[in-house]
Amino acid sequence: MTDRFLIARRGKLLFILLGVIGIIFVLRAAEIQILRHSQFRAYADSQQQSSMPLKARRGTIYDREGRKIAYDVEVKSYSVNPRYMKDKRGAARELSRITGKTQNYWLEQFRKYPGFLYAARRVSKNMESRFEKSCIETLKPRLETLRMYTYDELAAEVIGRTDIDNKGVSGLEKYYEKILYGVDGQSIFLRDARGNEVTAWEHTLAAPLDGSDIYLTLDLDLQQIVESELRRMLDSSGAIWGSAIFLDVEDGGVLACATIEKGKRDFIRNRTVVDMNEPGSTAKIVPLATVFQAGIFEPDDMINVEGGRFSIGKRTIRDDHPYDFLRCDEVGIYSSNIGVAKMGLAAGSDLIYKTLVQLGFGSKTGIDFPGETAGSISRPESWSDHLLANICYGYGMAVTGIQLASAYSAVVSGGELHKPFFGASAVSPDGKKEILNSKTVVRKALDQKTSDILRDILLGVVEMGTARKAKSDLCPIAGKTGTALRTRKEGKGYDRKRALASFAGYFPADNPRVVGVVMFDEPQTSIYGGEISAPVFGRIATRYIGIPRINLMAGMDKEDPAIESKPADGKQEKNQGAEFVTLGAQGDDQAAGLEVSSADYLPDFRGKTVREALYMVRALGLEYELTGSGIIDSQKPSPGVSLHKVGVLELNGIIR
Amino acid sequence: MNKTFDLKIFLPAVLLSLIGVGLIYAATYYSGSEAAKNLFYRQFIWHGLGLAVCLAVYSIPLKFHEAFAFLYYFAAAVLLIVVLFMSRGSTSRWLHFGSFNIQPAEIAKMAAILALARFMSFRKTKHDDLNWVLAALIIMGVPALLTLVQPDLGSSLVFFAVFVAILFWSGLSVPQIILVISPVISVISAFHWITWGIFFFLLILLIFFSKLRFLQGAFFLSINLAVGMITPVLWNQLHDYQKMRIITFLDPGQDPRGAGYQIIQSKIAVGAGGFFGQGFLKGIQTKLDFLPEQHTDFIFSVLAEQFGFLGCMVVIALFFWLFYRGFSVALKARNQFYSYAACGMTAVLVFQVMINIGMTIGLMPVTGLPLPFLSYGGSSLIFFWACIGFLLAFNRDWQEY
Repeated sequence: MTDRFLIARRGKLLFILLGVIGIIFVLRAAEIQILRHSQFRAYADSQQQSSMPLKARRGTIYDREGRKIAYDVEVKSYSVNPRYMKDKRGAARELSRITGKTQNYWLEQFRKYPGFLYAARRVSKNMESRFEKSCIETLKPRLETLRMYTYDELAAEVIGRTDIDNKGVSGLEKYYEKILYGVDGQSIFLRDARGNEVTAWEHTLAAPLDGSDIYLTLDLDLQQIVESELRRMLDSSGAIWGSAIFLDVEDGGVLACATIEKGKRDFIRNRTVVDMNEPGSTAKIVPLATVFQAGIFEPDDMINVEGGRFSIGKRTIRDDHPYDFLRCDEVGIYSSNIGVAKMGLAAGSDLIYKTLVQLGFGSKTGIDFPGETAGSISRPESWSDHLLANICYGYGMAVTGIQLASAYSAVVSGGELHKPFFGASAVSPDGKKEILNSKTVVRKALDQKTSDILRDILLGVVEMGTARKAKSDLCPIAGKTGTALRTRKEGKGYDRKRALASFAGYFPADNPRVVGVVMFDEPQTSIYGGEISAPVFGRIATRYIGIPRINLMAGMDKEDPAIESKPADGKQEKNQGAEFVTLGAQGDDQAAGLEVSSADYLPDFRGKTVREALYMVRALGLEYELTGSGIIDSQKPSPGVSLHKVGVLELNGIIR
Repeated sequence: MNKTFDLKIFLPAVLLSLIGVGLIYAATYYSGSEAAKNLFYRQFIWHGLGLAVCLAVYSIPLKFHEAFAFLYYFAAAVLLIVVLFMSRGSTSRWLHFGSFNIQPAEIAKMAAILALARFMSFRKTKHDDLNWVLAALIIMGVPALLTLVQPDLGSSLVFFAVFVAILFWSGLSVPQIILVISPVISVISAFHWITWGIFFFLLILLIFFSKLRFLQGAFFLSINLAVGMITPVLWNQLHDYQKMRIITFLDPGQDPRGAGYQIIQSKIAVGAGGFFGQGFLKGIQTKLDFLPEQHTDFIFSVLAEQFGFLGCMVVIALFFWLFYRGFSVALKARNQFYSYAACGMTAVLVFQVMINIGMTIGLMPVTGLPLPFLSYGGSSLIFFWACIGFLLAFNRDWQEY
């Protein structure tokens, strides 16, 4: 029986061997199916699912009266999937009937793009109904948005434009991109192993978060008036360009802002904010304010204005209207270069420079507009007497239109310099209102007494001085003209035939509500601000005075500059500190509760699926580069880094 | 039914078959072609045929098979040679009878097991004499070579597995078995001269301590040396797809679009199934056709995706139940022929299950061996049903000498 004994021992060994094999198999199955389940699940998802962005609706831009300036309309695009067509020829025939392209064109397209093909993008309503009535196989509509501008070119260079992806590329559309754009959602559909789209199954992973609406301080009535008056003068004077900006004296909100150019309707830049020019005599408020503020002169002190010719060193200053003696206020009213030069020499470089800085020249106003320039003023230590004199009547430095307007605003509002702004408030789709800008006092630039004296002078300029053509029967106007000669195109010195003709002023003179600047570059009929810009300002004021809209801040509460929440559904919770945005996700357990902290630190993406991570990254508005797929393995920079230090976020996914 | 008809052998086979039919239904459910959907019905017919074969085998007296074992063997060898001349395309695995195709390799498996068992039962037991091993090697080597040139690497490996199992069952010591299969190890280690050098050194030690006769020792040394030299030459003659399968097994991630694709997609399907599975007909990996060879080689992945870890455990448990019953029959059989045959048949079952499931979970290379009772395929099913028939019969007649 040794054989039987042997076989029994073999049997035992065999069963042990079998048991070991069984355990290995069970452990391996457990590893793949339990321990690494989520990893394989994510990888399965990533190869089975493709996502299609669901475009968020871009926020509407309103003027202060709630008039729609820019808004999105939903349009449809249609796609087909040639691979699933049973009758390609029939589909091509139908498509050619609707689109007007030949049947052969469509058959060619079917060959080129067998898996997915747009039949038409952003179709008209007419074509949409033809598509809806058609019976093209695999035809599928997708919603897209199209940006519309109600007032077309009115304020176009201020509002800006969007590109084909509906992202803001200029003007306020660009500046407020993050607020307006919202967060695109995601729709998931399946692809089979050959890359064909499985049309029957599609579902929304995350609904898009629409962008917020923005209310501007612009008043389209005034904007319309300004643009038409600028256009009229541009045409009659032959100027190269004209621009104007009007502010609310009360808080610094921009009421109208326009730039028009000869022979050009598109791609105009907002010269009031972006361009800097030598201002000319409008800058004379600087020496005037300096001497009165410092008590160097009183308004009725007499100044010898030398009969119209005054030499500083080798150079000579001339007045267009020669006088022998003028009172200090008359120096302003009749715009005497010699008078302000003497005031400047009396006050000295440092005081003049200080006033310039106090009134906001030489630095950006901080207005909410892309591409603002700071202007240019040199340091007072380097000023010669001649340069000091030049600066006193607006040469040898450069300022922007918005700087000039806000400086004048400070002069007439008792010396308070306000930060100018376009955007007043943003309203999110759920009705939450956020104040973007409100009255901000940058500094007290002048005291009340100086302000009063200057207002008298500015009124005098219009009543009896150089700006008499700005006078209006209906509305008292005050302001200052400026005629800044352009430098010669060849050789040194200034060209007496080419000038920037400007007027800076406010109305009503007795109760200032609106302050503004009007500029024309190189008008042909006359170079003088008093002849060209002053009458434009006057007409604008006259036409606008009957429309008392300012101060009506579109239902905004000025007392509370903090974020005010207006719950839409009545169960809004206010979070202290970090606010959390829960991204909507219906029916998908993986994305449910996916939270993006809006606190300022970079979240930890590691261990998340690529899908989840990208969703969070988009919500944070970060630029990213992704390599690999599956699960995020590493990221650069590491979590916890301050968000604004993140340039481009690098994410690495791995398939393990 | 007869008291000696062992339901404990029959039942797991029936249950596995039913599960298999359900899985083929799931694997072909989303297929576009009507032919693929019909596979589910065809599998029923195959199972019916298989059951008939099983009962036929059970009814015919075992002495009959024992007597004709060598005749079967020669007939099968002839079929294997015939099929080589009936090639369609690049492979010649099937004999065609109208719309009805059979694989002679499956018939040969059965015939070779019976013939080897018959040979072993005749053998004079003399433990220090290894000459009979050569005869056994020839019995299994002929059909193995004939299937290898079809080419069907998987089936030829089955013959090898049976050979090793029978050696083990004969009572050969483990060092002796290692010595016998040493040429194979020589082949595997010959991929690099250092590994082969180590192997050869260990072989010399083994021969020395086994106290073999000089001639036998010299024989094993020279055959290993020769194999080690020839392997690199033969490797270059392998088909590209065969090379790729071996390379892919060693590093599946190397080429995710090409040969490694099947293993990766299978692992994804298995992993995505999780603990409870995605549900019947809800396996997306299967539905979207990412999973290759769904109703044949990778049927286990279909199971794993839809029924998860739990489903896998049920099927694996059923298989191990069958293994246990199979080897139990081999153990208790008093008749040497019955014992060796039961062992050989169960070994085929174990080997194919291991290779197939191992492949779907990334433990084994892709060899194209079907999963017993579950994969679609007529010849394979009939072979395994015949095995069940024999096991039932051996169990019934275990007391016979």
